[in-house]
Amino acid sequence: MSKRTYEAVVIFDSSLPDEKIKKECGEVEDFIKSIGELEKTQEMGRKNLAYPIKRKKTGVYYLYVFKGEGDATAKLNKYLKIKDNILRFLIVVANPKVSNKPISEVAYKSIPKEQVEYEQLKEEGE
Amino acid sequence: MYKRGKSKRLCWFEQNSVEPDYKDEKMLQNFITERGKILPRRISGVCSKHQKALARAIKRARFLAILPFVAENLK
Repeated sequence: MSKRTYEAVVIFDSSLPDEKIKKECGEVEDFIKSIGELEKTQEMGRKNLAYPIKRKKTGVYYLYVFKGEGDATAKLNKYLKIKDNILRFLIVVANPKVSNKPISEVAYKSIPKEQVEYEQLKEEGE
Repeated sequence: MYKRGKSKRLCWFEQNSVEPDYKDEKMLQNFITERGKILPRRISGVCSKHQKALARAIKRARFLAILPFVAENLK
């Protein structure tokens, strides 16, 4: 069976403590390793969402690149759907022309955690 | 001899030899309007092949809340 390269972007709930997000990320990594070959994991950073998802205004983005057979995506889809603390995810077939480039070239504005907490407190106060 | 007709203008993606990517927020921002709509080809000058890929990239970025579906609060 031929294998294809896939990309999965997962948005975690940013209100969780950093260690918990790392742990959740590790769990996703372990699951991908069980269904295919994980090529790389990239933290894309904490980012303001363009619109609120589940009433959250920020999310922590992670990118996973992995190789797997046809049913790997279906398994991952099911697993991520059930998993808590995930705001949203997207699994796509990787474009070789894009994914061969380093992701540092991808412009991503990551915002510091303190700022997020401050803004959340401000909103709750109102 | 000179070629007749207009000189061919390359689209932005061909000039820079990059492909549209849904993760690249900064690049995609150049191809949407203030309201968050996808710019038509006649304005942006993107070739047919890349416009198709670009539209898909923008739609994926919208799903991941990287880009807005609608920009409500214009500043």
